[in-house]
Amino acid sequence: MINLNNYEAWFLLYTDNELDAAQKTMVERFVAVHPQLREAFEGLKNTVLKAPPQYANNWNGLLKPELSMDWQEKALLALDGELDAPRQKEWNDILQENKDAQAFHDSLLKTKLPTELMECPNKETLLRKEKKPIIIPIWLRYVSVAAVLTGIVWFAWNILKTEKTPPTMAVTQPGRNAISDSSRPSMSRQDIHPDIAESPKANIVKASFASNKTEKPKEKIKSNNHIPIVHAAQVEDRLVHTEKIEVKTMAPPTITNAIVQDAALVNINAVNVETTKPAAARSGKRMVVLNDTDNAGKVYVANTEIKTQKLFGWLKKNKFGKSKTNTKKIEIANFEITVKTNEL
Amino acid sequence: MTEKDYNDCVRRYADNVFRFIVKNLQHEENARDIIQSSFEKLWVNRAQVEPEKSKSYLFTVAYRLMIDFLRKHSRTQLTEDFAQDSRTVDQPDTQLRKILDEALQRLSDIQRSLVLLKDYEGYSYEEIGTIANLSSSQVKVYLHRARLAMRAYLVGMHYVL
Repeated sequence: MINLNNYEAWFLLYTDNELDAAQKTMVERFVAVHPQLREAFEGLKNTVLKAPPQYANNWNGLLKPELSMDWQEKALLALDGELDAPRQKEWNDILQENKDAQAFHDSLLKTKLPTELMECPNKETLLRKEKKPIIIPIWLRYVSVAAVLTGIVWFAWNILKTEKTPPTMAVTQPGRNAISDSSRPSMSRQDIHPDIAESPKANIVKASFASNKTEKPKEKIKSNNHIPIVHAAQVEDRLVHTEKIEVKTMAPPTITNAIVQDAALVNINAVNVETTKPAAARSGKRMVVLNDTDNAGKVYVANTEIKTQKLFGWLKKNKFGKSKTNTKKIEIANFEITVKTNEL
Repeated sequence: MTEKDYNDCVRRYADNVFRFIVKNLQHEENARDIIQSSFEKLWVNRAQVEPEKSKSYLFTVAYRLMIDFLRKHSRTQLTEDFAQDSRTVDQPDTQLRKILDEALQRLSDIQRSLVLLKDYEGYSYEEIGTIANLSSSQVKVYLHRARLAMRAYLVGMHYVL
C-alpha cells in the first residue's frame, strides 16, 4: 500500500510501466490526496524517453512483399494451364487488383521455355516400308473362281472317264499303222493271217488312252519267236476244265471266237476270271487277270511279249496305282487285263 | 498400329522426342541413339499400341531410356560436348535462351524433364505423371519447385527480362 514513506518507489514503478491498472489508479489517487507530491510524480514521468514520430514508418521501406501460398499456387497453376475456368477467372481478378500478384506472375512467365524447333537428324532411317495392299479387280476374282471350278470339273470328269474306260493298247506290225480296237470292230477270223498267229514277228505296242492322247510308242517290244506256243486245244481244255474262265466276247463276236480259238497266243500261268457279274452284264471283252508271269517276268498277250516291269512302270507313271479298288484293268489287243495295283 | 500409323508417328513426333532428349542429355549422338531405340521399341510393340496413344508411349519409352542412360553415364562430359554443338537452333533472343538454359541445367533431372514436357509438349500433370511414372501431385510439386528455382535464379542473377 502506498504511503508517505514509500511513495517514491511506487512513483518509479509507475514510470517504468511495471504496475497494473489497479496499482496505477491507487498511485494516481495518492497523488491527488497529496498535491505537494504531484511535482515529483510528474518529474519522474517526464524522464521516460519517447521515439520521435519521424522514425515511425521507416521500417516499411525494408519490408519485402510477401505472397501468400494461395497466390503462389494459383500463379503456378495458371502458368501451367491447370486452373479450371472459375479459378482462372478468380486469378485474373486478383491480377488486375494486386500489383504484387501481377509482378509475381510476370516473373513466372519468364521461366516458361520459349518454343524451340529442333529437327531430328536422319529421320528417314526410322521409317518402315509400307506394304501396299494388292487390289484384285472383282472381275478377275470371278474369272479365277470360274477357272478353278472348271479345272476341278475337268479333272473329276477325266478321273471318272479313266476309271470307266480302260486304256487300250493296239498291236501293230512293223510297216503297218497302229489300229485301235475301235477302228476295226468288224475284224473277222479270216483277217488274221495264220502266219501271224503261228510265228509272231516283232510287234510294237502302242497305247492309246481315253484322253484321246496319242502317244508315241515308248518302247518296241520284240516278240519272242521262241515262246512255247500253247495250242488252242490245250487252252480250250483248260478253259473248259476249270469252268471258271469266262471269255467275254466283244462285238463283233467273230473276233472273240477267233481269239478263243487261237488262245494259244496267250500264255498265262494263272487265270482268274470275274464270275460275279451276270452274263448279260458282262463285257464282251476277254477278261484275264494276270497274277503271275513267267520266271523271266514276261507275259504274252495276243502273241505279244510284254515285260511286266515295263508294264508296271507304265501303270505307275499313269497313276494306276492310286485306285481305291486295288485293281486296274487295261485292254491289250481286245484282252482286258486286270492287274493288282498293290503290286505296283 | 499399322505401318502407316508408325510412319506417321515418326514424321510427327521424332523431332519432339529428339528435342526432349537432347535438351536433357545435352548430347546429340546419344540422343539419336535413344530415339532409335525408342522407335524400335515402338515398332516391335506396335500391335499393342493404339495410334492415338503413340506419342505418349514414345515419350514414356524415351524418358525411361534416358533415365537409364543418365544413371550409367557421367553428365559432365555430356554438357561439355553439347556446348560445342553448333546444331542447336538459334533463337532471336539468344540471351534469354542462354539464361533459361542455364536455369534449366541447374534443376534436377526429373525437374528438368517435367519442365520440358510441360513447356514444349504441353502435357497435363496427369499425362506427365504417366510418362514419368509419378502421381499428379508429385508432378505438381516438382514443377512448382522447378519454377520457383528458375525464377529465383533469374532474379538472383539480376537478369532483368
